[in-house]
Amino acid sequence: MKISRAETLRYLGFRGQELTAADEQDLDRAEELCLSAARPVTVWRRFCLEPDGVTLSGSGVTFRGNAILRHLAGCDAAYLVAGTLGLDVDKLVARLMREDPALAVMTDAAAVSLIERVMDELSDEISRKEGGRVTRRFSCGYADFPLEQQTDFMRLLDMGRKLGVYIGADHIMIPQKTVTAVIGVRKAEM
Amino acid sequence: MKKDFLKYAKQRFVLLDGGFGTELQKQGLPAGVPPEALNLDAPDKVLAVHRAYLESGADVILSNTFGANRRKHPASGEAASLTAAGVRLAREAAGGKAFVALDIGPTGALTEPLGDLSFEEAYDVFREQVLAGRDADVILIETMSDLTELKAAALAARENSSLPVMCSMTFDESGRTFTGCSVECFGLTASAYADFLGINCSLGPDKILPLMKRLLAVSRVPVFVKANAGLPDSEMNYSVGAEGFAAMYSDYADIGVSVMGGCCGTTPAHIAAVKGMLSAKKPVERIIPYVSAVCSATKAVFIDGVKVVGERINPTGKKAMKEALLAGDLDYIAARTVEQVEAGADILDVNCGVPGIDEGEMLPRMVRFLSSLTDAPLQIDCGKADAVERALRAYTGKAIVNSVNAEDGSLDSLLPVVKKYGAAVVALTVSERGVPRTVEERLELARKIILAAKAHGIPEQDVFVDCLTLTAGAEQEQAMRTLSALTAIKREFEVKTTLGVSNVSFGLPARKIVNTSFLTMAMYAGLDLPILNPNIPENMQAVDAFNVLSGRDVGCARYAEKYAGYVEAAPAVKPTSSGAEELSSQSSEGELAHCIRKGLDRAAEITRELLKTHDGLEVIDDYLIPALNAVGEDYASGKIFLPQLISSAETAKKCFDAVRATLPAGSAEKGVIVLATVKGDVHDIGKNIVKTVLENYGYRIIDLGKNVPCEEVVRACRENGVKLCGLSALMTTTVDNMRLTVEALKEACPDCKVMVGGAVLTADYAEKIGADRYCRDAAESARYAGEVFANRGLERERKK
Repeated sequence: MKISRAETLRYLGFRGQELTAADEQDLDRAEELCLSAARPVTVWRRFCLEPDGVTLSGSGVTFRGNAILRHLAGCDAAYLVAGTLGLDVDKLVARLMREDPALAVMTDAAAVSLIERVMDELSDEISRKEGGRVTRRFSCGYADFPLEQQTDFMRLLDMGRKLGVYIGADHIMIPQKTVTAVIGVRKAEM
Repeated sequence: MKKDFLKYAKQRFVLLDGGFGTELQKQGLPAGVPPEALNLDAPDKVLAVHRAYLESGADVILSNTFGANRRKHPASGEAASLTAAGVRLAREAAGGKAFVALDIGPTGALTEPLGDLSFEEAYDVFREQVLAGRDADVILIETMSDLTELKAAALAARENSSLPVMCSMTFDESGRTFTGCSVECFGLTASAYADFLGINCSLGPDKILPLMKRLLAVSRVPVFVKANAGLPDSEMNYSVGAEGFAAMYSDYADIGVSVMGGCCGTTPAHIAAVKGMLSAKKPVERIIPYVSAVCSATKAVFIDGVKVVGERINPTGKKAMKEALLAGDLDYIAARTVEQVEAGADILDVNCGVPGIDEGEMLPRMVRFLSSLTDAPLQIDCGKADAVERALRAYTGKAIVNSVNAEDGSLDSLLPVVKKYGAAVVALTVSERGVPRTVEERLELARKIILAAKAHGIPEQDVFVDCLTLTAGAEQEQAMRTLSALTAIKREFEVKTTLGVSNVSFGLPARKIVNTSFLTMAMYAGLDLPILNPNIPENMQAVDAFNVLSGRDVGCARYAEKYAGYVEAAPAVKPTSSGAEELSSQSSEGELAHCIRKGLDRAAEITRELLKTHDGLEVIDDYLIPALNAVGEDYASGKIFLPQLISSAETAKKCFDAVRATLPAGSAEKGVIVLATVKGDVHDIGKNIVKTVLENYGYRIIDLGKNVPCEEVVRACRENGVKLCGLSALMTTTVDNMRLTVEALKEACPDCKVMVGGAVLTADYAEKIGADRYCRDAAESARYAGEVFANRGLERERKK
C-alpha cells in the first residue's frame, strides 16, 4: 500500500511552501516508519434497512439524528465498515514525539493518509459489489450522528476481537488511527 | 454444588462448555443486543443454552456474564445485577451436576498510557463483577488482550474472593495479543495470579497448538484451552466441525493440557465430541519447567546466559539524576532510560531513594513512566515493603525486587510481596551481623534467604543471589572471595547470581580497567546478571566477548554483527580553533536566525560562539527570541508549515541549552507553564507540539500528559504557583471536561491564565467556557505566553 504524499502534506497544513531536500527525506522516512508499524485490518457487515430508513434489520440498532437519516435517504441497505492501523502506530508516534517531534507529526499525518486510503479501498470494493449505488462514508460524530453509537459499531462488527479496537469512556477509539462509518446502498431502479 | 473445583480438577480432565453468543444468535438474539442483557430480559433462552451444554457433558457451565461489566453497562448497579442473575441461571441449569464459573471478559477499553482506563478503575470494574458473582465455584477471566487489564481482573478476583481463578488471553498466530503481549509474557506474569492459565478465542485448535506449547514451557500452573471452531467465513459460519475439533484436541491432552472447552462457533456437539475423545485418555502428569526469566508486558528476558542490568536510574552519587527526581524532570529520566537500552541493557534497575522523596509514591510513578518508554523489564531497587508493593502493583510484567537481605525483618516483610506479585528477588548476603568476610558466611546467608524464599513459595529460579562486591582498594582479598562465593552458590543451588560491578574499583585510578577485568572474572565465576553502566563501551564489550568465549554467542554471530565496522578509538585530539573561526561573528545574528529557521544543527555552535562575547541573557533576548519570533511569523503567514516550525523550535532548544549551561540554574527560565490534555482524551499530539515549541522559547513546561483529571491540573497549577496553563481537547465529547477543568482552575487559582486549543474548539467556545485565550496553533500559544510573561521572567531575573 502506498501513502499519498499530497494527502500527508495537506494534513500537515502544507500550502505550497518551499520543501527542502531535508523535508522530503523526513517525509520519506515518516512514510516508511508508518508503513512498517501499520497493520491495516478492516471489517464490514451488510444490513438491510427497515422502512424507517435508519434501523438495521435483525440487529436491534437504530441510528439516531437527522444527518444520518438524510444520508441514507433512498437506501434500502447499509454497510457498517471499520478499519484500523493497529496499536503499533500509536506507540511509534508517541516514541517519535519524544525523540524527534517534527518527524512525529509527519508520521502521524502519514498515518492519517494511510487509514483514509485503506478505507477508500474498502469503499471502492463495496461500491463495485453494489454496482456503484453507494453513498459516501458517514461516521459517528459528524453533524448530529452521536458518537455514543460507536458502541453499536463495536458490537455489530465485533471490533474488539477482530480489529483489536478499544473504546474509551468518552467513546474515543484506540488505536487512534481507527475509522468507522456507514455506507448506504441505494435502492435499485425499478 | 459448591464443591472444591481445584481438588476436582487435580486428577482428571475437566470439560468447560462452548460458544455462548453464537448459540444465542441461533435462537434469534439480534447482533446488536448484548447477550448478558438476556439474563434479566429472557432468562429462558439463557437456561436453554446452559442445559444443552450440560447435556453434552460439560463439567463446568460458564455464566452468561462475559460483558456484564460497568464499562459496558454504566447504569448504576446494572453490571452487578446482570452478573448476579447470570450466575444464578448457570447454577439453576447446572443443578448440582456441574460447576459454575463466573465468566469475566474484557471491559472493551484499553488501559493507560495508550488508553483511558486506569489500573484502579479496571480493578474496581472487575471487583464489582467478582462480588456480584460470588456464588460461582470458580472465576474464569478470558479473551484478554491487554496484560494490565488481565492483571487488574485477576487481582480483583484474588483479593475479593477465595474462589479459584482461571485466566486466559487471546493471541494471533504469531503468539502476540493486539497490545503486543507475547505468550511468554502472559505465562511468566500471570502464573502469579491464577490457578490455571489458558488460551482462548481468535484461532482454531490447530493454530493454537504451537502457542499452547509455548505456554506450557513457561507456565507454573496448569493450562487450559478454549479454541474457536476454526475461522469464520464472511457469513460467520465456522469451519471446524465437532469431530474434527475433538480430534485436534486429542493432541492437547497428550502434551499435558487437562482443562478444555470451546469458544466462538463451538456448539454442544463439539463439547460432546471432546467428551468422547477424552473418555479414552488419561491426563498426562505435567512437570513444571525450570524457567528463570523476567518480563515486561511485551518482552521476556530469559536468564539463560549473562544479561545486563542497567544501573543509571539511580540518584546515589549522581547529582543530575537526584535533581531530576526532585524536580520531577521526566525528560531527563527518559533520556537515561532510552540510552541504556540502546547501549544494550536487558533489564533496568530503578531507584528513587532521595531524601525528601516518598518512594511509595514515586516508585509506582516511575515504574509506569519507564514502562511507557521501554519494553525492558524493570528491577525495583528498594527495600521498603510498602513502596515495593505499590511499585509491583503498578508494574505489568514480572519484575525483580532489589533486594531482600538475610535479616528476618527484611525476609518477613518483603518475601510475601514478592510472592504475591510473582516477582523475582535479589538476595543480598548481608545480615544484622554486617557484611560477611568469608565464602562460607556468604554461602550461609544465601542459604538462609533461599530457604526462606522457598518457604514463601518462591522457587530458586526466581532468586538472584548478590554476594556483594567490596572495594579492592580497601580489602583486596575480598574480590576473590566474592568470586569464589559466586561459584560455590551456583554449585549448591539452582539460583541465578547478580553483582553490582563498579564498586570494586572505588578509590582507584582508571577504574574502568579494574571494573572490566573484574566483570570478566565474575562472569567466568558464574555471574548471570551484572549490574553496570551499559553506556561505558568497555562494559558491554566484556559481556560480548564473554558470550563469544563461553560459546553462548553461537558461531560468534552477534559479535560479528555488532563489531563488523568496529574501529579502535583514536586518541583524543585537541580541537583546533580554526573550525570555529570559520563562523563569521560579524553576521552571527543573521546566520543564527537562518540556521534556526532551517533547523540546522550549526545553530548551537553559533550560539556557543556568541556566548564568548555576549552575556547569556543577551543571546536569548537579542538573538534567539527574535529568530523564533520570525519563525512564528513565517508560520502564521504560511511561509513555512508545521514540521518546519517544529524543527526550528527543536534547533532553538539546542541553542537555549547552550545558553543555560552558562547561567545559574533556572535563570534563563522565562516562566513555568502547565500543559495537559483533558480527562477522557488520549489524543495529545497537538499538546505535544505546543510543548515542544514553548520549551524552545525558554519556558519550563510541566507536562501532565493526556487523560488528566481536573483535580490534577488544579493541583499542579497551585503547587507550582503557575501563571499560565494550557489545555487541549480533540473531541466534542471531551470539551466538556475542558469546561469543568477551566472552572475548577479559575476558582482555585484566579491568577492563572488559561489558554485552550484543539481541533473542535473555537474562539467563541473558548470564551464561553471561561478560558482566557483560544490558541489555534503552537505559534499562537507562544505569542500568548509572551504576553502573559511580559515584564516577568527575564526582566525580573535581570534585576537580581
